[in-house]
Order: sequence, then structure tokens, then C-alpha cells
Amino acid sequence: MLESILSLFNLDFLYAAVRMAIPIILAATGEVFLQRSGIFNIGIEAMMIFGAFFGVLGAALTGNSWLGVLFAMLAGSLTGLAFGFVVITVQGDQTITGTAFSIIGLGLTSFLVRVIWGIRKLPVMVTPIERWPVPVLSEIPYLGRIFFDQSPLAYIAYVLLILATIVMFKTTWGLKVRAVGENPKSAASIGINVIRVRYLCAIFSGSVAGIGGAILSLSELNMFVDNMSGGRGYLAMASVILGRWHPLGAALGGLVFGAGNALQMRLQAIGVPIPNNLLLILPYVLALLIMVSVYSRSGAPAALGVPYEKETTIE
Amino acid sequence: MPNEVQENEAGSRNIDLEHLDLLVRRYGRIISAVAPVTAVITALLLIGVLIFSLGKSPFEAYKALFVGAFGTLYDTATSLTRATPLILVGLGAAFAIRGSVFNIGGEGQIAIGGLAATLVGIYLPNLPGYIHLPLTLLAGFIGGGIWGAIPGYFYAKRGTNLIITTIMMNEIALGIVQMMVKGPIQEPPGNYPQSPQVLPTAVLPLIIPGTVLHAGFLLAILFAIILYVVLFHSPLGYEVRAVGENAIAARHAGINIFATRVLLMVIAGGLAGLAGASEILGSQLRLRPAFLPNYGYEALAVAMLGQTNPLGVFIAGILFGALKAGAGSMQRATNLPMNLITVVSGVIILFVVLAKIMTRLPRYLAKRSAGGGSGDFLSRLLASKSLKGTPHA
Amino acid sequence: MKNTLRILYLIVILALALAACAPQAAPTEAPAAQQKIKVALVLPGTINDNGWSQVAYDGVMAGAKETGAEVAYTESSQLPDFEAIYRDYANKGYTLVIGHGSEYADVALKIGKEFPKTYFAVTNADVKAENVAGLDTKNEEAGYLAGFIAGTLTKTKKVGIIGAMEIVAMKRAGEGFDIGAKASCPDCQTMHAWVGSFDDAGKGKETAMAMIEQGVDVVYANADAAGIGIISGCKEKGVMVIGDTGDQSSLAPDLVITSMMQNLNPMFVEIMQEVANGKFIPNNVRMNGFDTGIYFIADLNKKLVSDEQAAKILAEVEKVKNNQVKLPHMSASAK
Repeated sequence: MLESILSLFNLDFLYAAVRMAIPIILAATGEVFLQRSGIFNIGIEAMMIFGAFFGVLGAALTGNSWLGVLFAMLAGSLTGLAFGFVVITVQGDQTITGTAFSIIGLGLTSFLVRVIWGIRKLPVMVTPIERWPVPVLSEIPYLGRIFFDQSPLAYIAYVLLILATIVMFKTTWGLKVRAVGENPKSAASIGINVIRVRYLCAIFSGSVAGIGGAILSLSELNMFVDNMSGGRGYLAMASVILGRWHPLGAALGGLVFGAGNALQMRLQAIGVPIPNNLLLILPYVLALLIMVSVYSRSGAPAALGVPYEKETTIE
Repeated sequence: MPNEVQENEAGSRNIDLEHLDLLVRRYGRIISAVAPVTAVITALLLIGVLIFSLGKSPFEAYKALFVGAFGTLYDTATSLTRATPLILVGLGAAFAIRGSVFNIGGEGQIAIGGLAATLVGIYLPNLPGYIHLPLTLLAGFIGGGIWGAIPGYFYAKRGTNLIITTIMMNEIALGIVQMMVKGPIQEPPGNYPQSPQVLPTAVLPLIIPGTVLHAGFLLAILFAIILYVVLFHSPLGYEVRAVGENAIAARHAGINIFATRVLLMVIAGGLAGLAGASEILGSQLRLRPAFLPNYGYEALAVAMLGQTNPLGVFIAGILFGALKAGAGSMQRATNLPMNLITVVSGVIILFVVLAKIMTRLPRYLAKRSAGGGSGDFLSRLLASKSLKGTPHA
Repeated sequence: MKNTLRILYLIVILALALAACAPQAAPTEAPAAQQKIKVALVLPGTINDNGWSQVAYDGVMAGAKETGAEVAYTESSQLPDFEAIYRDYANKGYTLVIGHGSEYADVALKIGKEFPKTYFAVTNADVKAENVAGLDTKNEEAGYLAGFIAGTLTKTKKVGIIGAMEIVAMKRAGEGFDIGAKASCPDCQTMHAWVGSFDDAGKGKETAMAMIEQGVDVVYANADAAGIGIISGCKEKGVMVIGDTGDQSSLAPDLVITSMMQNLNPMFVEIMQEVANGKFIPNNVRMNGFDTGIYFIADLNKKLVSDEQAAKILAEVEKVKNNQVKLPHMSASAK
């Protein structure tokens, strides 16, 4: 048994782990910005499911799946904007707002599916965005297969991840985001528009989470299925915290979940004598163990979760 | 000296501002009471428009909703039964929020509380009811309390993000319950994923015969009162609120923040566990997976709608319970997709959050009419407690 | 506020525009001589879940056509609400309440005692009472034939079944699958996996691919909406797959061998006619399977199945239909 378990850790396993991690990584990349700016968004699930749904709707309407991805981004950014309005302008509680968004997102998309497409035997199908091996890069031994034989949307995820890291740590813009999340009052005092920065982060986070959702519906599959985001939004948020608010760290966190799931599925298939319910929660147990064993608050933006009240300056 | 001038000016405005302060305080109270009601009404109006656009009558739909919730004694009792777990979990969540501890692990704590109660309810035979039943309820409280204490400990000790750990703990708890009802405690012959029924000595009695309302509701009333007294009229409540308002100041005042935070998670988790226990001992009588689906999350909304005031939570819990009881009858009467009903509860929660804009209204008014004036005074005024929607704070 | 309003406005407009497309249940004429009955269907999922609940909705609608019954349904019902739903229907004078799944067995028995004049039926359960009928289904037969077909076509001697969640119906199919695969290929190895969700199609796809990497070359996708993902995973890997519930060949025309079709119409029509004609049989579990026509297989894919293999498979289907294959039937009763 042990031998067959060890043999699971092969190239295919790593390939699957990366593949499953990518939607989570995308959503997490946006969430890093949002949390760095001081906003906690547990409504990523809503942004992902809207992305998944509007991706398919867009692809079905235009006949072009790439336009579908654009729809997904738009839907995601509008969700981000709405979320931003509630938590930034109204200063609503971020946890509750996120929960409400998730409930509405899952309910509303299922509802729209019924209203738009009616009751069908199979969901409406669109042309999928096929896997595309990158020339040359995919020839690299091992790494080529793992990273460069994926969906084109995965490459977007890589590029965004690198850009996000650079923007966050090497540009004024990144500095602004971090300043706003650490101490909005002093950020404002040096002329940074706190509200604007937070809104932009919310919109950005929504649009990339939307692409993350579109990967599920347009690349992994070619249709929308009710509730298909399957809790990946929560995993994305967990990845951000596991990765200590660093885009690359968050990506690593996403990989933990990808690998956890890939392992769990393989252990089930070879029939290890462990109840499948315990195997299915394996990724969560892994994440929890990492959280409590290596985590400390260091690295968290100081103003995370605290609404920002504009100073009343008297002219 | 510009200082003198300013003082003069401020002095002349002082009367104005004091008057405003009074107004703000008075309005703040009224508004924080009106805001949740407005939120619910706005949400229902909005959904009404959606229902209308689908070619159905919103009046019919809401009539069915109301009749389903309060049409008969039986329906009313059903609403209160649905409200019971929401109130219990909501009370714990609200109490913890007062201390700035966000427990979104209700879902898992309910599950573990239900599991613990079921174990004691099944496997402790030959006890008289007056011993067995309290023991079983206590097991539920302890089970949920432990499930809350684990993330609470790491949060209080090391600042480990509570939201993430509790979400993970939720998934793990649901997995454990599924595993238990398919394995160790499955009912013989053992194919359906459920435990045997709890022993009759552990069953919560019905309080209105011929309905489904069980004594768990009395527990909800009891804890609403206890928590109200503790929160506003006890040293512990004072400490909790102090930690919630300003943890650093509280530490300087000699309050043990670590202990307070862990305690809050134990209470929040324990009440969620008790909610799970009372549902099983009073209604369902056996453990099955997802026996209170989404109640943990909705209870958070109940806590917010109730302005984190135990009595407010009690009322908000009944409202949500009635919505749950009435939603089914609304769906059956109108054939609206069930997903829409889910959206309704989400929209209500969202509008409850949006209602905060109302509690901020006097602040805007104050700002506008005050125009200029001493910044210090104003910010002190604007930060006045009544604006946070916590009339008793 | 402006932004939120704009979004909400958009949604409303969208809904308005599409409201016209929303399906409306057509009223049906009652044939004479039958009592006009009211039937309620209580479902665990939605009526468009591409699986379990949708098939039941179709079945009851077919029954309504036959009997002229008035039909109501409750979607996505949750455990804490079962009792209230049942009592509501019984109070409103519904003649027959159908709970679609063994989880409704408890509540049917309980409410059945309180409302002796109302009839109750529970799918997939072997419950029975004076006014409660079990509408049991032999899920293991579908599993058996899927296993048999997989065993016939496999080259690697490894075949697998992927279910959504460990519920009675899917566990029964899993047991049948093992026996069926052994029947056609005694030295075959069978693998089992669960997606852990009825609708996470992405996870279904990955679960299929993980299984295929362990050498499986025929997969039985038995997971409702998540099953669509399983078929997609098989397509990605170029591996043969057996669909479920409806004809799923359009999802992967070159790889879907056949689908284990489900048509609950005969079962629901039968019970509705019994009640409409006042001929309800008390204390009886109605057993349904290939013999009563609720299960059958879709056309075999000529590209994948040789004539010889097809003959062997169809002969086995006949045997199952005539109850010549003895399979263990897992009891699902809740006592």
C-alpha cells in the first residue's frame, strides 16, 4: 500500500495540483491587493460564480469564448464595485457583507440560469478555451509539462501574478496600497486618496476573481453548472492569509489546496482504507495545520477589516 | 492671536453644537431602531419588483409568506421553532462581536454540538430524564464550545486569522459528522447516513401540544435575558465591551484580553453547540449530515440585524425564523424557483448592512449644519457612541 | 448607492426581458372517471439539476398528464423544514405527497400517522404503512450493467465508478458495478471515488482524471451535474465513459459508450393512477428497475462497441430485465 501511495507523487500529480490551483491563485492575487488595502472580502465566491456565469452567458451571446472572459471580468469588477460601495462608502461590516454577497451570488446565478435557459436536459454548451502548450517552454523537462501545458487563462494568471508582485513591491502604486492598509489616516495626510485606492483594489480583485470563475466554466468545462465555484473563493481567501499577504505566497497557498485535492482524489482512486469523508476534508486539515503551526499575525495589514472614516477637515 | 479668535468662535457655536449633540443622540437611538426595519422592508420591496417582473403577484407571494409564517398557531409555532437555533447562535455571535471577535464558525460548532448531544443522548441509558436531558444539552454546549475554543485560542494567542480558521473548522466538522453517521454511530442495519434516535429521556418536551415548538425555545429566551444582563449589567460585560471598543486601552486597564477572547469564542461556540443540540433533541431526534444548513451564517445576520443587543437578536431571530417558515409556503404558492428565496435572505442581510448609512445620517446632518467649528469637538461628537448603533454601549 | 442601483436595475431589466422565456406549466385536462387528485412532490434539489430531482419532476408531470392531477412541488427542501412542508401539503388537502429520496422516509411515516387519509410515497426507500408506499429502485442494476459494459470493453483491466456523494442510491450502484465488472471480466480491478459534491463539475473532472491516471480506461460517471465534469475529464484523457440519467453522448460523442438512462415516469404514473383510481395498495413496497422500465440503456456507440460485444451486452441487459441476475439490494429503510 505504502508503495502505491508513494507512486502517486508523480508528474501527473504535480500537473493536476497546478491545474486545480490556478482558479484559486487568480482569485487570491486580486484578494491580496484588496486585503493589503485594508479590506477583507469573504465574498470572493460571489465574484467567481458571477464570472463563471457571465463568462458562459457572454460566450453564448457572442459566440466567442474570449469575449466571454471579458464578460466575466466585467461581471467580476461590477461585483467588486458593489462590494466596495457597501464596505467603503457605507462602511458596512466586511464579514457580513461578504457572506451576503456569497449567498446572493450563488442564488442569483442559479436563478438566472433557470430564467434565461429554462429547464433543460443538459446545460447550454459553448466552445471551450482549449489547453494550449506554449511553444519551446512546454518542451522544458518536467517544468514544461507542469506549468506550460495548461489553459491560456493559466498563462494570464502567471503574468498577473508576476505583475502583481512587481506592482505591489516596486511601484508607487503598490506603496500606496500598502500605506492605505497599514495606516489610512497617515496615508491620507500625505495626500493619498484612501477611498479611491480601496475602490480600485476592490474592482481589480473582482475582475481577476471573475477570470478565475471563467476558467472553471470556459476552460475546465464549457458550460455553467449551478454552484460550480464549489467554495474556491474561501480557499482563495485562505491562500492569501497562508501566503502572508504576498502574491507569491498566496500562490503557494493556492498550490497547497491544489495539491491537497489532487492527493485526496488519488488516494480515493487507489482505495486507501480511510473513509472518503475524511479524505475529502484533507485540503482543509492541511491548511488549518499550516495556519496554526507557522502563522503569526506579523505581515497582516494593520488596518485590515477596519473601515476608513474620512477626516472631517474644517475649512 | 488667532487662538483667541478661534476660541471665541467656538464659544459662539458651542450652544449650537451642544444642541446638535443632543439631537444626534436622540436620533441615533431612534434611527438605530428604525434602520433594521427599513432594511427589511426595502429588501422585500426590491424582491417584490423582481417577482412582479417574473409575471407573478408580489402581494400573493408575500401573503403566502406571511400566512405560512403566522397564519395559524401551528405556523407560528413552526416559525418560533425555526427561530430557536438562529437566536441561540445569533446570541453567541452578537456577544462575541461586542468584544470584537467574529465567529463565523457557527456552522461547524452547530454540527459538533449536535454530534456531542447525540452521543450522550444515545449512549447514556438508564438515567432519569431530569439528569439525562441537562447532561445532553451540556454535552452540546461543551462540544460547540471546544470547537470554538480551538480557533479562539490561536486567535487570542497568536492572532491567527479567525475567519479562515473557523471556515476550515466548519468544513472539517461537517466531514466528521458525515463520517460518524456513516460509520461508528450509524443506525443499524446501517445504510442510511443517520444515527439512531436519541433516548426518550433526552428529548426536549413540546411546549405547545399539537405543534412542533419545543422547550429549546425557552432556552433561547433564557439565554437572551442572561446575556442581556451579563452584557450591560456585569463586570464581565463591561470587560467584553471594553476589549471590543479598544483592546489596547482595555489591556492598560488591566483586563486580560487573551482570556476574554478565548472565553468569547467558548460562549459563541457553546451557544451554537447548544443550538445544534436543541434542534436534535427537540425536533429531529437523530443526527444527520447538514441538519441545520446555513444556520451558522444566517445567525451572523441575525446578530447584526439585532444590533448585537441580545434582545434585538431575539427579535431578529424570530423574523428570520418566520422568513424560513414562510419561504416554503411562498414558493409552493407561487412556484417561484427556490433559488430566488435564497436570494431574498441574502438581500435582506445586505440591506441590513446598508442600513448603516441611516445611522450615519445625523452625523452628516451635524457636519453640514455645523459647517465650521472646532475639529476636536466635532470629531469627539461624531465619534459619540450613539452613532455606532449601540444604544446601550 | 448609484452604482448598486444601476446593477440592480440591470438585473431587473434582464429578468423582465427574459421573463417571457420562463417555462410555464401547462394546465392539463382531467380524463373522466378518475378522481381529481392533488399531488405534491418534495425534492432535495432543483427541477433543473440535470439529475435526480429533474427526473422526478418529469415523472410527476407525466403522471399529471395521465391522471389529470393538480401538481405542486417544493425544491431544494432542507432537513429542518421537512415536517413543516409535509404538514402544509397534508393540511391543504393534497391527496398524495411524494418525497424524492430515502431521507423523506422518517417524515412520511410520522405525518402519515397524523393524516391517515393522505397518501405518501417515498422514492428509493423500502418503507411501507397503511398509507405510505415505498417506491424502491434497483440502482444496483444500473451499476451492474455499467460494470458489465466497462468490463467488456476495458483493455487495461481496470475500471472505475465515480459517484457524487455517498448516498444510498449511489452506494448501491457502486456495489452493482463491482459485481457487473467481475461478471464480464473476472480478473478486472474496480476503483471507486466520490466527488464530494453533486454540482462541482470542475472537481468531478479532476476526480476522473486522477482515477484515469491510475490506469482506469472505462469510467462510469454516476454523479448528477458533477458527472458532466467527469465525462469532460474522460474526454480530456481520451478514455471511454458511461453516462447516467439521460443520454449524455453529446458531451463526448467519440467516447461515451452509452448512458444508463433513468425514466421515472412509469413509477410515478403508476402510483398516481393507484391513488386517482382509489386502488392504493397498503403496506407495500413497489420495486422498480429494468423490469418496470425506469432504467434502460441508451444506444451503444458503434464506434466503440463491436457487434459481438454489443450482442453480449444486450443479452445481459435482457437477463437483468427478466430478473435473471440476482443482485444484493441494500436496504435503505429508516426504522
